[in-house]
Amino acid sequence: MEKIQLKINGRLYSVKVNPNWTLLKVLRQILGLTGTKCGCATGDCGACKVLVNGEAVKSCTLLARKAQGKEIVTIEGLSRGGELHPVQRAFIETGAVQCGFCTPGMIIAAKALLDKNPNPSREEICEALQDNLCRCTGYVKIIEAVELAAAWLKGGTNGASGECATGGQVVGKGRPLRDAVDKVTGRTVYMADMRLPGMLYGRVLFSPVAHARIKRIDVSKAEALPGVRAVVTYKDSPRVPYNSALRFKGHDIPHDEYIFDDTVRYLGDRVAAVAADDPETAEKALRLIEVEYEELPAVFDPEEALKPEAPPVHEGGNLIKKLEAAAGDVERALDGADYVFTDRIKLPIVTHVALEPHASLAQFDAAAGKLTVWSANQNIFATRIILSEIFGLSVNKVRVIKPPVGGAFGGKLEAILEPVAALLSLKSGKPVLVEMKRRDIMVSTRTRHSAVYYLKTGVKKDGTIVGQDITAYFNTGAYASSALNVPSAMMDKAFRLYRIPNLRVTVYPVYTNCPVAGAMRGYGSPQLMAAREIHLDKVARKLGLDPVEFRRRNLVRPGDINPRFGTSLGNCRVLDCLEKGAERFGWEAKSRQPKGGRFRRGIGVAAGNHGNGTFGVHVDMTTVALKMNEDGTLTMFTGTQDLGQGSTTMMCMVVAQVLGLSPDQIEVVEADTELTPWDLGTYASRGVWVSGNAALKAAQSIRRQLIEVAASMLGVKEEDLELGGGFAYCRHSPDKKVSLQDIVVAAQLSKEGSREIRAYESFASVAGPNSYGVHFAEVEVDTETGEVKVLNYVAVHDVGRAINPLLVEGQIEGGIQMGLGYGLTEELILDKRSGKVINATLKGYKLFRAKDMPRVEVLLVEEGESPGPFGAKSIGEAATVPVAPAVVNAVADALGVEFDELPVTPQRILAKLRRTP
Amino acid sequence: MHKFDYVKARSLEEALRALSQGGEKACALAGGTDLLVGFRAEDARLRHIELVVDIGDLTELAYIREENGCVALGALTTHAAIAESSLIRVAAPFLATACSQVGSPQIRNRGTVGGNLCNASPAADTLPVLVALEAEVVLRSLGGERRVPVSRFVEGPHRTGLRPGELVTEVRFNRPLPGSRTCFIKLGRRKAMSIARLSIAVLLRTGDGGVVEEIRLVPGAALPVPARVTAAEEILRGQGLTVELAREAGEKLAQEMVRITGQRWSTPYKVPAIAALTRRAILTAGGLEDVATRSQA
Repeated sequence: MEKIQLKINGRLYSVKVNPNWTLLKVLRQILGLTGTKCGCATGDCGACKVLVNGEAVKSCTLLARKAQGKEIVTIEGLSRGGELHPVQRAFIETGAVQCGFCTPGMIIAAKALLDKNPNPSREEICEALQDNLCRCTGYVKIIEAVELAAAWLKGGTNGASGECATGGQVVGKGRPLRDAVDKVTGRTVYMADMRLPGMLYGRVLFSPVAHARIKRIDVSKAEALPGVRAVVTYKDSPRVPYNSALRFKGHDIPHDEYIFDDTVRYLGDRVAAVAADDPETAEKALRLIEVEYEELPAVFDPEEALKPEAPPVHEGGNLIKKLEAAAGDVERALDGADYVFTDRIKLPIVTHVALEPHASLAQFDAAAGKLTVWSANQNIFATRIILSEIFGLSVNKVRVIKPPVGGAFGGKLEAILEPVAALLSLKSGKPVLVEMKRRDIMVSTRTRHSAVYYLKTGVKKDGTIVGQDITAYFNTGAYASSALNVPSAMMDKAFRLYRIPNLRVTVYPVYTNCPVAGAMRGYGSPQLMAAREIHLDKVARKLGLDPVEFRRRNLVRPGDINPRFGTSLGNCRVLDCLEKGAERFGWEAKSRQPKGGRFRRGIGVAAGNHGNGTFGVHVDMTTVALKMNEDGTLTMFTGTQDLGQGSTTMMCMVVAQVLGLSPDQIEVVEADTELTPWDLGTYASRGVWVSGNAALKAAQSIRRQLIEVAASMLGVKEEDLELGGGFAYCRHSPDKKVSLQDIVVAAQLSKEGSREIRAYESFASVAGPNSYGVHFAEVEVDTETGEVKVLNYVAVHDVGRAINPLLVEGQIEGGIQMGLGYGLTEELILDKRSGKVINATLKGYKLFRAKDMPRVEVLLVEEGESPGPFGAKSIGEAATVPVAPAVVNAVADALGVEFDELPVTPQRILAKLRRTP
Repeated sequence: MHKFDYVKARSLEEALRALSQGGEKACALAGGTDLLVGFRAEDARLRHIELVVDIGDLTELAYIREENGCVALGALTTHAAIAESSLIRVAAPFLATACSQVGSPQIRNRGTVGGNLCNASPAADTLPVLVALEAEVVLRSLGGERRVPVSRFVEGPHRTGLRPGELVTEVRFNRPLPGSRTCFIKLGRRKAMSIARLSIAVLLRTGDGGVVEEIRLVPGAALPVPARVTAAEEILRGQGLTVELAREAGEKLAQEMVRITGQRWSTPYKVPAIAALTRRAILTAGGLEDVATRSQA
């Protein structure tokens, strides 16, 4: 250890460091300056950028001792004295902040740029941000924020905007996240920023082989290492099987997973875990665990895995359960069709890449017999059930709390680390924080199901679809997880986009020795739409029909009947999306462009749909509690988990609208199984549709109570009263009014019977319509290198009504970034012999960066969907559904070739071009 | 993270002494853009390192100058400094281009030419250019100085001829003859798209009547070590440059790549890509219009 001095944010710190400590470690772990984030520790994500002598530097690539004598500025140093820096303000104003995890690094990179170049072009901005990854925003609003900050700095204004909504209309007006200020200043405390007294650090050992029985496991050397407090293996693991994707008590899905088992079923499966005084010791201890594996045959392809000779991943064979959904008579329809077209389309394994790494902190209080778990998690109430079952604790002795989450996208929906952290805490008697490395997150959490689709479509000469038969093999990997839920959700969507009276979808969810597939944004819809929209584009071309015209003829219309259930599809406005988008995109004119030369342009379109909640599948309920305070402010209690997408901001807006308040007057207590009422979980695009409605219902209850008390105070009839601007007032004589605070106090002190103005309301969904989108992409393909440049992008979405248009746009822009990767670049590549993921790094797994993004234009169709709150419906998942097929169809159009495997990489493009001269 | 000791050198002398004492277990730290990432990723190549000698403050090793027709770059010269140097832009424009395309602006501001050489990544942008320039590496140790051509210094992916106790202090090359023209092109400037990081460095000089007198073709990330592909060069030398000859040279270069590296999973992609890249770079250097380049846009 050596003592060094570091000048950080104008203050001199004296710290003892080891020679190998990076500046990042010193900032976060020694000095507690946790505003600087760590998303990878390998110099790939940019979340840890700080200013060093004015330059943006990734602090994970700088030795602390090398930073001596330099001026270091961290995110905490940008806003000293409480005044936000214009860059921070611009990030808030433009909606560039979602989960907030990339935000400090982005702001630092932007500041470094603007200090040197006050007048950057869009290209220069993208260049400066090109090693800063973001998964939420598609970079669109981040780039806007930098432009806005540049304008403010040039104009001499600091961007203090005078505009502040005072009551009145709240719903429908764009509004930044309620916790945006915390996020731009680095004050948000994410999971890995939390510390408890006596806390240990947990690390997990993952299997180096794809399928094996553990013959011998010796942890004695690891246990003997000074600083190690607990080592756990299958010998310590309760023999209670569970399914990490459980949603509620009694949920009937295969329970095939243990915290640790004596068999490993994929390369990356959990083998053991260690808790130690510091992360370095825990990691060292992992290397001292001796494991002898008896290797078993493995299978990685879902179709191979169904063959009789395939090695079983679990007892009982690899087919989990054949699933089928059908309407009409498919055979007869195909027989009677003028043409029948078939395709086989293969889709890759992809992964979420939320910027915040997975982490859980567990504290078991042996005396009280109580387990408390903090976790970056999307489903605290289900996680509580899983933990209570594994450890045999009563439900009220398990408490799960969700701190702010740095992006999830389904990847934090399942209980993966929580049981491990709990087991380590149980054994060590200390709180244990378990964190995962980026490499392990990419392999050993959850992925999107890869799949093989067989499609058969019968059409009439005029392009009318008369029948369709779809069979898919879903690779669920080594454990069932969502093996039944994802295909079922996918099948449901198939019946809601096109008018296909005779339609059958069959799915075989199959175990393999691959990484475990689970929930990921879109939950089956991206797979279905990628395969079907690419297939239908081929059908349209073979019929000589324009792809837009082909869809125009077949898309569902508002009020259409779902052929599978005979129920209404609701106000499905997908055709409006198509027309609006085609016009804005300039489809007609662009489709007449000639093609030739080295750089070829092409255009593509695709439609897609996704759900609103889980109505018709299982319980779909959220409860919201509201309490009025003595000054007319409000406290909301919700189990809904905000993941950075803005669901609690949306709920505050709904409540504020009903009560005539400003959303700022509402404080939120969020996602704590002990303090907040029950919620099914933040998934299935339930936020607006269910939680929004629960907030609405609770707010309406508060409104009734306020008006009741006010009417007696003012001596008027209840029906004559309105709420607005913090008052209850008489509609006919607005001067006759009483403030909300007076109402609350009067109710509290009332001699006739004191009461608290409060509500505790459950809302269970009563319908499950879909949200729709149609996307248009224009690409330019370099026929020599196979590189694709996405030039222009138009996304149109039927959202019923946008409660917060700023965040709705942000969801769509982020969905586009994720979908472009699905179509063109992203794939976890498995070595075919060992089953090892060979590109489990942010260098090897190619995400779209700022520079790769096209110009994006987002349009909304707001025709209302009843009974959504104010007519609103979901967007989170629907946003990413049509993207991949739209861009792949554009590449196919540019080159005049057909693709049957995603992602459409330069290799695959060149391979196609060489086959078609 | 990997454990090691750290010393900050205040002079070249101090650095050489520390490296000499540390021997095989020591390595120098300049910008740190590669080394620390390697440590963090538990790179096997760095497992034996126990001493890191920080040479980042030796400003005397950051310079670009020309003496008697020889251009010298101090080992600590950053990519950004080379990219912006008016001397380099005139004397060896493709070196400036390559340096302007390294990583991100932050990497260019910190990463150094000496570091890029010692890391010897097959994808290093400066290596093919330095080989095309027939540059030499100047190596200093307590025992003295030696000079090694870059093409021999780099022995394989992430392998160099750096001996224990030695430090790269300079890279130098003779200024190309008047009339020389250069070009550097790399694939995958849009990061998500860069499946392979192929690149090509071309130095070309034509004499009377447009006959190619000098031609050097060095592909990047295509061969185990960056080297001139003479079989492709021979197609052009002594000939009048044409689009057809450039195409032929590109294809020959691709064939040579396959001959040397064998068939790999990426070969079907790399072959047409490097052939096209080479053709384009030759034509750009030669000032000829590429028939295939004309875009419809």
